[in-house]
Amino acid sequence: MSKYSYSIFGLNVISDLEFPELISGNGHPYDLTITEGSVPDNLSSSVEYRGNFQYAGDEFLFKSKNSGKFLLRNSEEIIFERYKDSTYEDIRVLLLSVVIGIFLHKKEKFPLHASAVEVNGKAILFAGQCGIGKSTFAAGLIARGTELISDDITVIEEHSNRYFAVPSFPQVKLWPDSMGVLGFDPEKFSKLRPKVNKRQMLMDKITEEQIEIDTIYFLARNNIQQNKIVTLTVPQKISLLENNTFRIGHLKQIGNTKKHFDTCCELVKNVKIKKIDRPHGKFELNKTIGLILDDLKNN
Amino acid sequence: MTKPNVYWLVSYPKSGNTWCRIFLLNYMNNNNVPVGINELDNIPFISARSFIDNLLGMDSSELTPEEIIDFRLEAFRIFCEHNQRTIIMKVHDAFPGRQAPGFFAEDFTAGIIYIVRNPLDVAVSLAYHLGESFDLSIRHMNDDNFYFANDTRKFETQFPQKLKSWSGHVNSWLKNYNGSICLIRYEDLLDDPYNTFKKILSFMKFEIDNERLEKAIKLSSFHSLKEDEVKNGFREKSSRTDFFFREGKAGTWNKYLNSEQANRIINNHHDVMLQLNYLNEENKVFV
Repeated sequence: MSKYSYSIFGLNVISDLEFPELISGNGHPYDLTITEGSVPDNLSSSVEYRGNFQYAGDEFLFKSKNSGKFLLRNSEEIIFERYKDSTYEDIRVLLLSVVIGIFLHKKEKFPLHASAVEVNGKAILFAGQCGIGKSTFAAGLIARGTELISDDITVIEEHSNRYFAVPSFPQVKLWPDSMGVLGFDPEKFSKLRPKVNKRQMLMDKITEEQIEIDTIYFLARNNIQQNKIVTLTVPQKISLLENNTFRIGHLKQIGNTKKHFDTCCELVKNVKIKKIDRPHGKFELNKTIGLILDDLKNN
Repeated sequence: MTKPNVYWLVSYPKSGNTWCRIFLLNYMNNNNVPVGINELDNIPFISARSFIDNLLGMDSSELTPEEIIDFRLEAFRIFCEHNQRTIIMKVHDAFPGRQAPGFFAEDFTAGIIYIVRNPLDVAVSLAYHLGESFDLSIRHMNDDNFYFANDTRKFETQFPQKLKSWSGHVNSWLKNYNGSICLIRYEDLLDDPYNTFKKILSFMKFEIDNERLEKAIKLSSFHSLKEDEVKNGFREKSSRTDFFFREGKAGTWNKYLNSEQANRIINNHHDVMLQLNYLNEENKVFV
């Protein structure tokens, strides 16, 4: 079987499975090996269960009844087994969301549930819960000439008290109605998975290097009439960082909660963190982007 | 196997489910201030995507419909296993049938509280809730294949819920479900809140404390809920309407529906309306 080499979140990956959405890697040494093979139904010893997830020491197992099974081993190897009725798109999507999220925690990375773009040489992050508009705002800014750093998961790295957003891969995932807001015809873009209507929008490029973070905007809906940028207290900022960490629900079983909390506290000291409150039921993309660009200019 | 400890608060939408949730929380909390309308998490909505995503620690929006069924059931199993106390859940789905009861299997279920409301009033309230015409809400209520939150073009904060027609919904529970059911009419909650809420509490084997019951009714008054919504908004409100708590009355359909629209509902749901005392033998509407 051919092997494919990729770079994602600053890590080198070698894979049996082709990921057309990823960018080619730099080769050795590999941080992660992805292979197709036989995966057990259950982990053997000291297992902690959580629905479709199992954790045991250095092993993590994720089963999706209709798509396949994924085994993450020793923080360096993912083995997947595809069920016959599923497709490799199904495997790729589950691997690049559920499994990679767990892998990043195992590697003690800091993955924020956020999309990031480069604006005037600095990284701007849009964080928040699913469906809140992270990818739409990122795509809206890209349409104005900025460059993508990462969509949906943004890994944050620290170098000498400076915090950087690490590039992932040149793809933005959008629902058809958001594509409409952005002026794109969803029919021209392929579905993320055959049975999932969300679309995959491949970008021409992505930033090559890590970009220093200027501001993290947490997106929220509130009972207000107009978009508003809200300043936050330190505890509010820490709480938002914790709650919006990608796959935070699994950190207790697989990661280092103390280190994670310490990183949240350090981030708060070194990076601007604000909240954008938006009214329920209205998107107002251009108006909100205008507000964000003004905010960046004035601070 | 999980011990059956779940009471399902079931209704077609806009039939008083949220009001019952608020009453039950006020009764359980036994505080002197009302529970906030945005603090109803102790009676979760089974179709809220965030409820399942938080339990599993993953994003369900990129899963296929088949995966979602499996993941939701697994997540709910975890929830039940971790909560040995009585669990109360809000539901709008029609009963899916005895062959595949899903969440409503006897492994989980201690009982069903089924809340029903005059469909003529439901048609008006549903139209406001969905920001649509009365003709369209009536069409939805007459449609055996009607779903809530089934728009695949966008991110839905709820999972799709098959409601069936209004009569189909009532019959799915009152005829097809063979477990224990407590039937509650919205109109009785308005007319005689003390005895009707007491009936719910007794069904759930809660200890009845008269003073506490009266206090909970007061704290759950329409006026109190409306005031809270005006002041703080309501996160469960549909984006297509201004207010979730609109009138809180029975029999106001007359102000909104013309006779042709009312007849379309009566003709379609005649038998169930008759059975539930919303109609008499002469087709006269009671409320």
